Amino acid sequence: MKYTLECGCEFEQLGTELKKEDSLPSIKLDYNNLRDCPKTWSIFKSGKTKGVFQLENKLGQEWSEKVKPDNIDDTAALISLMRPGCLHGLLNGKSLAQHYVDRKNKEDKISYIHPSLESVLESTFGVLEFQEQSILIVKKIAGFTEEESESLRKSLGKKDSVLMAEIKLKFIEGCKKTGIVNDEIANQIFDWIEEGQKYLFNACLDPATVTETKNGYKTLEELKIGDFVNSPDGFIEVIDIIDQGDQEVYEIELENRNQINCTLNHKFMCSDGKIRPLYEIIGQGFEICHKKVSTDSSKVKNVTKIGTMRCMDITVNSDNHIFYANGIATSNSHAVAYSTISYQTAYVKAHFPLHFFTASLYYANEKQDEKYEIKHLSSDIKRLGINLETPNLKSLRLGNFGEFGMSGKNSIHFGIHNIKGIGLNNTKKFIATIEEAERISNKSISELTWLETIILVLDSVSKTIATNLINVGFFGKDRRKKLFEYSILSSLVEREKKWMRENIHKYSSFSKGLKLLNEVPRKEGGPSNKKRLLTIKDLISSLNKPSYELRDMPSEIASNEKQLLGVNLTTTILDDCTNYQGNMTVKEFLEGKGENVRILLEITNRNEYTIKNGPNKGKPMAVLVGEDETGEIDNLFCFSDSWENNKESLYIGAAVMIIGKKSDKGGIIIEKAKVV
Amino acid sequence: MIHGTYIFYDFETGSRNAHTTQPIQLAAVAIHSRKLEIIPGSEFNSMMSALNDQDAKSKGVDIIEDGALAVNKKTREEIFAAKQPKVVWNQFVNYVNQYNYKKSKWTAPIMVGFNNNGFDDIIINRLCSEFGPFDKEYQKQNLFHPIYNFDLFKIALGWFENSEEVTKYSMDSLRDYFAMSKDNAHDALQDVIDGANLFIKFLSLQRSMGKRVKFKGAFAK
Repeated sequence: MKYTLECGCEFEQLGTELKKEDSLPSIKLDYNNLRDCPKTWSIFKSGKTKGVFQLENKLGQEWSEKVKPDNIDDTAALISLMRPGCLHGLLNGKSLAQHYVDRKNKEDKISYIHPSLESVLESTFGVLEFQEQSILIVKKIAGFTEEESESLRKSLGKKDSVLMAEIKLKFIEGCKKTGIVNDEIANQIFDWIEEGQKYLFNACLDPATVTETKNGYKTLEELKIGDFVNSPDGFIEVIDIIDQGDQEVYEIELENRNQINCTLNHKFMCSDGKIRPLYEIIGQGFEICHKKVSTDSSKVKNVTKIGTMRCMDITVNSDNHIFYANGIATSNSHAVAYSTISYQTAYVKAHFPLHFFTASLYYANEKQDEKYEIKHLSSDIKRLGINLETPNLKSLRLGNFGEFGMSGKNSIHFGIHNIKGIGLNNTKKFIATIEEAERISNKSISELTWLETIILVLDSVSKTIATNLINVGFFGKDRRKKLFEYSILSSLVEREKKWMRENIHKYSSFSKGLKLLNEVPRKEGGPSNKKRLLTIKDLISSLNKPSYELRDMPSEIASNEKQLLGVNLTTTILDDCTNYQGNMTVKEFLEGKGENVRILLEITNRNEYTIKNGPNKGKPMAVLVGEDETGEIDNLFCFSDSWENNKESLYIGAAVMIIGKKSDKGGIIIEKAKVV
Repeated sequence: MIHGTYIFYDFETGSRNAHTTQPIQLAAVAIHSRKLEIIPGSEFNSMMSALNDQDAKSKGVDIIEDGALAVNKKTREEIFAAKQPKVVWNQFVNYVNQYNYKKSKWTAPIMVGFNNNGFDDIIINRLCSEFGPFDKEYQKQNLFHPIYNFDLFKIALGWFENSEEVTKYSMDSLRDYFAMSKDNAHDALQDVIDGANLFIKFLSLQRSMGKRVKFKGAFAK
């Protein structure tokens, strides 16, 4: 079926597979021919790039909003900007990255240290961003040969000050000879190159690494630009060979005995198709892809530090930048390739947010901090107006309850497997228990009454599973009451429970069942003695008149959901504060509603700092994070006096009414805070 | 800063020796430690049945004394007809655990009572030992926070030890002094509500005074 969206993009919906056949209907996209879509670029421009390749963290979001890319070249520049060289390299007291942004957004004039640099730096608004630009500059204004340019590149990699001083001398002499720039400008340009390039992220391989070419096997050292190397996509052209200078190198041995020497940040293709740096692969036990063996991927078996040695990398002409080195699928870093993947992921986010977020949540467990990832994705999801649901019976009807999945047109549900304390094995056991209950009752799980569920299902699973499922609302509302009834059931002995199970058709409520049980002779499963009879009588009395209130409390639900799922889905602690009204929600604030803010928030994080400059130098201040059901604000500033007066109210987990003003940096400057 | 929940609890008992008495009523309320207010709907209240005199003697526990019944305004019939201690205790454990959001012993609610350190806490340990949860290593209850604990009696003593106006520190004396109603006094639930309100007053006072006192470096020369 073909359909057209408002932005003009056309799609074909096929089959039922994207990430996981039982949870996500499939949308077939031709990733290599995606339309240049304004809706996708608006994701970049607004900085809402959570989940977008290379731009998903705070830094990426912040700089994406600043750079506002609207084409692949801009995106490549954006990705390059977010390296220490551009972020920390200063020119006239401002970072190179900020220069780029100001010039691109026409807030600053495009200027060049010297007019001769215009042709090289025009595409990046006069900012030195790529190593290739440094090479072109030294060739142009100092007349460097290929060999001399390479020695510059090597020395930048080595961070060798003696060698650098020699090259600088050569550069100044070269400039004198060409006469394009004077000594002062030449010095300035060289310092600029050195500053901007010295923090390059060097992911490298041993030059002796072997790769298969159309003309037989060659080491990286023997390769030439124009050679074709083997890759998962066949033979692909080498378009650049880079000497990365001396790096700390490790020998890596895979379980299939393939070996490779490389730096810890060199990237490889993993069995799930994702490209990850080696340290992440080792740390999290991912499998690296390789070829010509019985299996397609292997885990790293041994890592041995070799020491510092000269390293190389190549650039290949393919979209994913993967080629085989020593038979292992390895990647070369390349901003343009990355920017293409960034666009592809942003495209899916813009057009199929439900699919995008379901997949992102599904893979959250591969991130360093799964809870943090789920929390931030959830915040983004809520902001877009997509419903997030707790694991529930509805998901069972959809046939998927182990993992995240889509429910309906605008909802994503958590799975049982996503509940803390319920691992894969417990999920499987639970499924088996449900199937057995369905068999006994001759009903599907979604048709089981609460009585049937508690007697036939919950009694057969562990206490942790049962209480956690009830606490996240898997069986619907009245969580406290259900927990109470479960605790009564748990206090029966096995013989009594068995009678309750086998005779479930004889009673219509739990207390009626217990009454019947008390009339059953011991040999048929009834109470064993008079004391037991009294105990069951007490349990019936407790069911009819509990010792404490069994009404659900929003704060308790919120706490349990946060503990067990990592996020609040059905309620927040703010729902207990109905007497307090702010003048906007988080979503409204982020959309720019008003300067004077009165907002009800739950504080979720706080960091205390000492003010470094200005009249309040030395005094403490804090930056806090707060959220409501519509989203999260991560820059709540509380400066010296305000912090002193309000810090007792601004603790993590507090529901507070915050009164303040919108800050220039997009957050809120807190003037008053009151726990509500 | 304490973020856990305070649970103010109280037993009414059939005699005065905490090690051998039979509890006949258990009540509690939860207090939000930051807002310092009783959490709405957090009342726990249940009578507990006691053994008759003969069974009590054979089990080595105290019989229900007439004096205790008079103070607590309960009849023997009511007590013997009440729920068994185990049933009540299991429900109390569930009740307390509701307020332990992270389900760890360090986030467990904090015990508060009146003269609990010398009396009620001992009964808590006895019941935990008999019905759980019990920390076998340290031989103590494993339901509430293992370290933090407040006793309103000691707090009052601390404030009034230099006072000539307050010379007795019983709950009734404090009710009189603070002009609190004595209706339903010695009913466990009323006692915990009164006690919790007093505890909240004292803690609020301490917090507001604490802000104005410069403790840090007070002994610096």
